[in-house]
Amino acid sequence: MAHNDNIGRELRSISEVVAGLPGNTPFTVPPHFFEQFPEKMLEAIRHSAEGQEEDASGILAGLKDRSTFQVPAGYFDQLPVNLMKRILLEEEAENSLEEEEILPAILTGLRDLPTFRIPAGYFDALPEQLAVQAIASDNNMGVEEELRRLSPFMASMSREYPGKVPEGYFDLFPWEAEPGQWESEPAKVIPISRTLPLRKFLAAAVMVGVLMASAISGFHIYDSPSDFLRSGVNLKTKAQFNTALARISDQDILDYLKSNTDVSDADLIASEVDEQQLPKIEDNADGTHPAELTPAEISGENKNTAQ
Amino acid sequence: MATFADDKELLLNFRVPGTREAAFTQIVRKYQEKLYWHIRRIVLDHDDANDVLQNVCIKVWKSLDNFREDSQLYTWLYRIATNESLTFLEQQKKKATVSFSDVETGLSNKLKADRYFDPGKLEWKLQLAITSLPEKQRIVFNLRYYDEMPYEEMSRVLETSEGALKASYHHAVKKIEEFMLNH
Repeated sequence: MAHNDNIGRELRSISEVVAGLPGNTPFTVPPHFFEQFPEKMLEAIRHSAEGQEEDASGILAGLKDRSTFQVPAGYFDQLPVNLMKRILLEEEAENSLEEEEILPAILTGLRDLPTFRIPAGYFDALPEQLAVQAIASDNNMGVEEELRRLSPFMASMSREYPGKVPEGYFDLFPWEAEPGQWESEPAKVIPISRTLPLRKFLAAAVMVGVLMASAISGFHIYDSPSDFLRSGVNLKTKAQFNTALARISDQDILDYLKSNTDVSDADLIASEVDEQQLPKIEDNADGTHPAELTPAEISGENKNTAQ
Repeated sequence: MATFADDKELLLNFRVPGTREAAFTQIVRKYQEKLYWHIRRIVLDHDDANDVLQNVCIKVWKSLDNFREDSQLYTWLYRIATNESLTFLEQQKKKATVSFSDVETGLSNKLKADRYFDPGKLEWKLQLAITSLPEKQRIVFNLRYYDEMPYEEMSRVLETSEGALKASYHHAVKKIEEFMLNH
């Protein structure tokens, strides 16, 4: 192959070695290949065109109605019903799986996991913090809000006072002060002395001293026979007992015995009574009655006995 | 040497139904050897070249009605032949599932498998050197060295700038020189 002059010069400028190589191609082609190629090519194109038409009109048209895959008899008739059954079964299985297996397993596993953490000593300081917050909240809370939180029922009730005032009360009330009525001297201001707490401590110390001295000296004041009886065990001598008993009136003793006498009291009184000083049966053998009993009382008693 | 009608006349005859097949036969006969050798130098094997050439002709038959005459017919044919050849090599890569370097080795082996292959002859040695080039440089070298295609036309065929084509050709020649001197 003869090189173009420009191409030859270009090649020589780049590489004398390559420019000196033979420019022919060593490949060979079968004999008469190019002579027959156009006709063969045209024949191939014709055949290809006919084949395409055949594909479009014949082969594909014939294949279109043919079904390569087969389905069981009655498959499509039963398909909707079978699909619905399967959907229901799968939903039921999923629900039971979640309820019986998945959820319990998950919850059981989560139960022991320390998912949440609290600062150290949180619960120790919690009550105080809550109290502080509650107080602060109460201070900022209105009356209505406070009542609503405490008792919704109470908050729903009418807060109007049901009581009434006499008719014309407020009309007669001297709301309007007469000239000079409220003009008076200014109220006396008592300064708060810093020594006041010391005085309180001194007064408290005096009271404590008096109580201690009275306790040591056995000084007692009995308000009732019950107090006297309960404290009797503490009396050291009979003289002390008699002195204390003398301070209680006879009427108080009678009233007490009428309302409170029982077995234990009777035993207690009996233990303290000197039988030698009690009246004897022989003292009344002559038909006379104690001075305390009136004749009417004696007759009434006899009447009841007769009945 | 057979004389062929002008490309414009062939295209006019192709668009007439009565002369369509005759015009197509004339076009194929006019450019078949150029296209064949262009394809053969890319795919190396005759049977592969024959298959690619037939595909090119079928595409020409289907697309010639849409050919725009703002470019030369043979430039358009070369572009189709180049694309079909590269597509053929790509398909071979996918079938072989081998890397590009292994394909180059495969091209070299294919060249050596030719029954007329003679490693002692320079022309066969040159072909071995060309197969060692990257694909783009190989096509540029073939179009320039064997087909003596101007860069301007080559630019339209390969849709690459003339400067890039000149650089590719320069690199290709230098690599071939090195190969020839060292082998």
